[in-house]
Amino acid sequence: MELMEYDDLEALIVRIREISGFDFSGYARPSLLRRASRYLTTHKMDLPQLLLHIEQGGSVVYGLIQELTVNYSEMFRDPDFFRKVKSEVFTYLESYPTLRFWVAGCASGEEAYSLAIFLKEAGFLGRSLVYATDLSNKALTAAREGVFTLGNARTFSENYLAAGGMQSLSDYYHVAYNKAVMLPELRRNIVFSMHDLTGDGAFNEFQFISCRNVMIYFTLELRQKVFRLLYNSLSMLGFLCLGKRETLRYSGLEDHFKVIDSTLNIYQKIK
Amino acid sequence: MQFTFQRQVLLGIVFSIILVLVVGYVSYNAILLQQENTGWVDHTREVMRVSESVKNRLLTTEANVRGFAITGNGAFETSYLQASNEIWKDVEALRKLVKDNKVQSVRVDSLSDLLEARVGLMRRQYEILKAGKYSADTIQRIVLQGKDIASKIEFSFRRIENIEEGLLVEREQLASSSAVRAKQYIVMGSLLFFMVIMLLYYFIRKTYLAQLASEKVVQQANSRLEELAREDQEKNWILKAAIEVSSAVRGEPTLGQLSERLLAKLAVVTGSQVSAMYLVTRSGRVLERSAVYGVSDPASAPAFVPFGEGILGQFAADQGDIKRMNVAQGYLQVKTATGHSSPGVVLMKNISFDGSVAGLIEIGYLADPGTKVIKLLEMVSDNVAVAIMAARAREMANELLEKTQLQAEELESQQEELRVTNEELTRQTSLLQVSEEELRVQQEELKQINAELEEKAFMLEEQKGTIEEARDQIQMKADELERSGRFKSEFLANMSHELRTPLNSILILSRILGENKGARLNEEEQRYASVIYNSGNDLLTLINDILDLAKVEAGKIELIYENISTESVLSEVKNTFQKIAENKGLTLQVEKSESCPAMLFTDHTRLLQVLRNLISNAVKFTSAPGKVSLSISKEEDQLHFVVTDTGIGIPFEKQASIFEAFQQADGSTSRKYGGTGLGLSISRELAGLFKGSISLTSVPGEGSVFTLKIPYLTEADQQAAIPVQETVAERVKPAPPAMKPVASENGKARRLLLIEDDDIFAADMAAKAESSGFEVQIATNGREALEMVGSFNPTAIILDMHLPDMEGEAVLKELKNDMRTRLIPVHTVSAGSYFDEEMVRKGAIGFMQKPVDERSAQQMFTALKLEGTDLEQQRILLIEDDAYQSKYLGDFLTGNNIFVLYAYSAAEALKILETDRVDGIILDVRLSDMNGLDLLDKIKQNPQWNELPVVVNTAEDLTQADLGRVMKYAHPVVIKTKKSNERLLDEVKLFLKKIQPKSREPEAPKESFSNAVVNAEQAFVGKKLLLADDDMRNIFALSAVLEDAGFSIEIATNGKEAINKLEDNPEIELILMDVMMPEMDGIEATRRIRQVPRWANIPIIAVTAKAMQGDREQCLEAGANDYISKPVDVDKLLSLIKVWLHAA
Ligand SMILES: C[S@@+](CC[C@H](N)C(=O)[O-])C[C@H]1O[C@@H](n2cnc3c(N)ncnc32)[C@H](O)[C@@H]1O
Repeated sequence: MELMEYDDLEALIVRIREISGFDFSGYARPSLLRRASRYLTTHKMDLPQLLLHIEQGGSVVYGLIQELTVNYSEMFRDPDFFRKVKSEVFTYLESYPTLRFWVAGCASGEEAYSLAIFLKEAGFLGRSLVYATDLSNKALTAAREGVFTLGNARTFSENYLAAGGMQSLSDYYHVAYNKAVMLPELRRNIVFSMHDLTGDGAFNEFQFISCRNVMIYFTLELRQKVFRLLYNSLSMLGFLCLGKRETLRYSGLEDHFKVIDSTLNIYQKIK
Repeated sequence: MQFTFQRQVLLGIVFSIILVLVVGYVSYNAILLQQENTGWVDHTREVMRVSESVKNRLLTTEANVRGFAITGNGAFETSYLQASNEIWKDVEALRKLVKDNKVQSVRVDSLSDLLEARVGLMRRQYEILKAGKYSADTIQRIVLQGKDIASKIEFSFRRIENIEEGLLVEREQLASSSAVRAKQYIVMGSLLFFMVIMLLYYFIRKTYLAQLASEKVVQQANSRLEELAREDQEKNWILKAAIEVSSAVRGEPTLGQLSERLLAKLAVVTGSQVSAMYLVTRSGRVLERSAVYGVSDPASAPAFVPFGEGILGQFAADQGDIKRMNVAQGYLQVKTATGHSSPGVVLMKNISFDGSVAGLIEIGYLADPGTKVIKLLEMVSDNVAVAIMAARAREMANELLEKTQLQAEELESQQEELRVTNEELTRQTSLLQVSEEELRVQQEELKQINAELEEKAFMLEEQKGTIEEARDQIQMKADELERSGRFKSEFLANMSHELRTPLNSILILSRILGENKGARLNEEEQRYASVIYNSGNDLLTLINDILDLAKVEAGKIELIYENISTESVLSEVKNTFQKIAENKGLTLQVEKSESCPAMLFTDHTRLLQVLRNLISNAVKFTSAPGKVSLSISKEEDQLHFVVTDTGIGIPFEKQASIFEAFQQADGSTSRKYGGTGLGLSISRELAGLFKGSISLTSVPGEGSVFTLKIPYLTEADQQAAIPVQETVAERVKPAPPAMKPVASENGKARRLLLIEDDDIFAADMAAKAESSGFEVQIATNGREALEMVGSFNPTAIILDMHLPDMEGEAVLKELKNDMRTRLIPVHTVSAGSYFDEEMVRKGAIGFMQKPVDERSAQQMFTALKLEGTDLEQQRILLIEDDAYQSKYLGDFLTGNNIFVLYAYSAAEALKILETDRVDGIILDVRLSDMNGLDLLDKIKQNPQWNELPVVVNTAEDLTQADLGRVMKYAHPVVIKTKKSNERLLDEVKLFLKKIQPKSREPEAPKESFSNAVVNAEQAFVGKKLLLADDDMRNIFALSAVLEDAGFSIEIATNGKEAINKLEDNPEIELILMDVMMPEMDGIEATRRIRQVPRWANIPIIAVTAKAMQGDREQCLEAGANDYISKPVDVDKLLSLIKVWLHAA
């Protein structure tokens, strides 16, 4: 922690913005500071060196950006969320002939795969398309492969069952070389793509957007901006899922949504 | 004690020399001895020979002496003298010879004495003889003496000779023995020498051999040494290499790095050409490729090799140590810039840790690398294994660490979040505390107030009594009211009666007047009279009808069943209508079919009433030449009374409503054809009473068929039913249902726009309207009116047909053409007599001629209000061929306060659309008479309807193509599921809500389509453009703009489709390529397109939502010509397109 001060962090943010165009200024500082310090320790450098590195260009800055964000994820994370989505949202979405889902900030894809699994069980994966985007190319690469360490399989399975899965999670992957490889047919309807929630625009219209555990890292102002983006990307009557830890509060868009579940923060766009 | 070889040899030689000397000496001595002995033998022999010669001489002397003595010859004498001298010489020689031998010398001395004696004797003899003087006796005596001496000499001789002979033997013996000894010595010496030499030879040879052997040993030792040196070198090399290799895997490399470094190092150190390294995955039993080196196509080395599969797998499974294979040509490819070759030797080495295989290295060489490499591999394998295990452990630790760190980070963030929330909470808590304080104060206050209230409560308690009384009174009043309701009905009935009485007088009197028997009235007055009569008549019918209807609706009409003959029914009808029909020029046909029974058990009067209604209607709406007929038949258990006409018919959409009170085919009909419009309502109610129904089929312009169906009953059936009837039957007190709509005033705002240039009329009407519950505004001309419609938002309009600035018709038309206003009911008024049907056709709900009295005004207001309620309700056309579904959904929508118009086929739907006002459509794709989608197209092609929102409802999944057709209009599609109605309602509400704010915003893209450059020239007309995008909104927006600009557009929703479209449409001149698309993204698609030579120059503009610089580069790198970001600025896009089209 003592590696860096808040002032240094600000300087770093500015440099990153100048070099890459990516703007961290809307990120919560304490978290950023911790991540940046960690970066320095793991890469065994100090701030001047890092700045120099960035200056020299290349992919350093992109690597840094990816490491400043937190990429943790799980299959069926917060099972009750998935349970609710299945019982409340899917029954509604069922009547769409084609469906678009957006998992914003998908990390290494667990959430997207989880969604795809439930879509498959609900019987409309075929007419659904899940866009899963993230800032981190590294995470996306992992996500595209759809390979997860078996070590987590147990938690994942428990989550899956707790979420109301109808089969066994292991029906959706096969084990190869100590890894769980997700079935390709799940992958077929997922588009993994790079997208920066803070800078990039709306790229499609969705009936369902899940943006969980992403905005906790953002400041309030940035959240509002991102909320606008999510709102603009939602089709009318589409669902916005923020998960247990984020709410629409202070988004300025409260009255554009109907609350489907207030603890899991599932909303429906009504105007 | 070891002698050196040299010493040994020297010793040998010295020994030999000594031996030679010794043997030589001994032999020499022996020979000398032998010689001496032989000399002695010779000596002896000499001695003997000399003694012999002495003897001989003596003998000779004697012989000479004798000869001399006999012969006296002088020759004897000389010989004698000579011999006697010589004897001495020999004796002397003899003496000399035996001088060394004393014995012999003695003997020789004695001999010589004897000889002397003898010789002396002979001399005496000789002298005697010589002297001749000799006497025989002297001679005898001398001879005898001589003889004696001779024997003595003989003896001496003999002795000497014996001795000498003994000596000789002795000496000869001695000589021979010494010869033998000498020989022996020589032989012995030689032998000894030989032996020494042999020994020496043996030694030398031995030494030599030993030397040779040792030389060989040395040589061997040498070569061994050399070998050792070489081995040493190799060992050194291996050690060095091992150190290098080990150092390569030292540090904290990842598994991949480790493998790469190891292979690279091995290549450098051992000169391998290709190599690959596999590591056992964490689950074991599978090898995973961790690095390759020099392999021209890394993919050719399998990424995964399960144990036991292939040579590698088997090798690993067998846990072999090392394996060397000579491999065939082309086994593994080594490629350099200048050529390629196949290695000749492949080494495989298992890297084991703790007795199990941890990994495997395969190395290929062009030539045999020798054993040192194998040794090296063996040597480093442990190190490598350890390094692998370490790296693996590190990797796992790192993973875990990473994971926990991420989790920790999440937690931290969440905690932060919590902290913020917490702070917020704390703040709010403190706020709460403040307000709690305040509350406490308030509580105090409240307590006081409470006390006061308690007082008041006490007072109230008192008042309550009073109130209760009042309530009782109110209850009484309510009862009274209820009674008075009944009274109202009664009143109405009575009223009607009361009305009828004066009316009758009016009728009668006016008829009389009209007949003008006294001819006192002029023509004008006569016409007035007939008007009075006619109106009175109408009024009478109306009153009768109202009365009837009220009675029926209140259920207060009792059917009185009786047996009547069918024939009587027929004739009654005939009697009633024959004349009227004839007067109108119509044929009336009345008949009964064979199935019809002769007697009917029914209520005669009511049956006739229904039939009369139907037939009078038929007659009314049929003009000459035409035909009206009644036929009675019995089908199954029902009697069918079929009234057929060839009249104007009833449009389909009105067919349901004509049975409603105050409704006929149109509101105006009653005025053209007379009648109250209540007849059918009454008929239907009556039919219901009969437990039957009236149905209608009609084709406008061709006629209508009304069928009354009532159950066929006999008296027996009726017995059972009568008691029920009796309970129902009460005193007939009809209520006035027709008044209901007017009476049921609900708080809804009613706004009436009065379009009227006549101030007085306007003021009068306004007053009336206001009293009737309208908020009124007045427009004095058409323009103003149309403006006010927007601002005032009226729910009803009264339109004067004569306006100063424009014709009322034009105003009406404008109102009706505008989606926003077409629903507002318009009632027309005019001073002149307008042909009202015309107005109605144009959308007015009615026409009234000025001046308008109170009653007509009220009528008008009622009609306007009725229509107005429709206005407030949204009208949805539900096109659904399944009656059950239709009802289910319709009820659901109705329950949600939506007015539903039902159509069961496409034709019906179109008819309703043409004639009725519809706010939106729910369309089932499957219809009996037309494909729903075709219907959709048809609706959309009609400019009047193309803005109508449509929700497509379908039971089955639509094909992609069908979906495309719907999506073209951007309408939602709802697949029927258990819960889909919910969504259907949402969608419907959504578009209804969209309709309500009447100020429609112009569509954004259209508005922004203001690019002067682009607009100025029709540069794009006919150019084809491919729009590849997955975002429907974008597709709509862009294709609208681009089509406006003259392009024809091909649409693809993913990269693959884009390429296919491009293939099918070679005339495409430019591509707009969205980056984020499913299946194949825009970048990949661009790349592929660029790979095709004929598309190398087609301009591609990438469209992306992304803002990062990197993305732009990526697009351009893939081959896009330019880049535009979402949301797309249309002007910019068009300019871009123009630039690139011109550039191409
Ligand atoms: C903690 S993960 C959440 C993963 C997943 N949604 C879940 O709940 O399991 C947060 C993700 O948001 C991503 N992220 C952070 N900032 C972003 C941004 N500006 N745009 C897009 N993704 C972002 C990070 O890369 C990270 O993968």
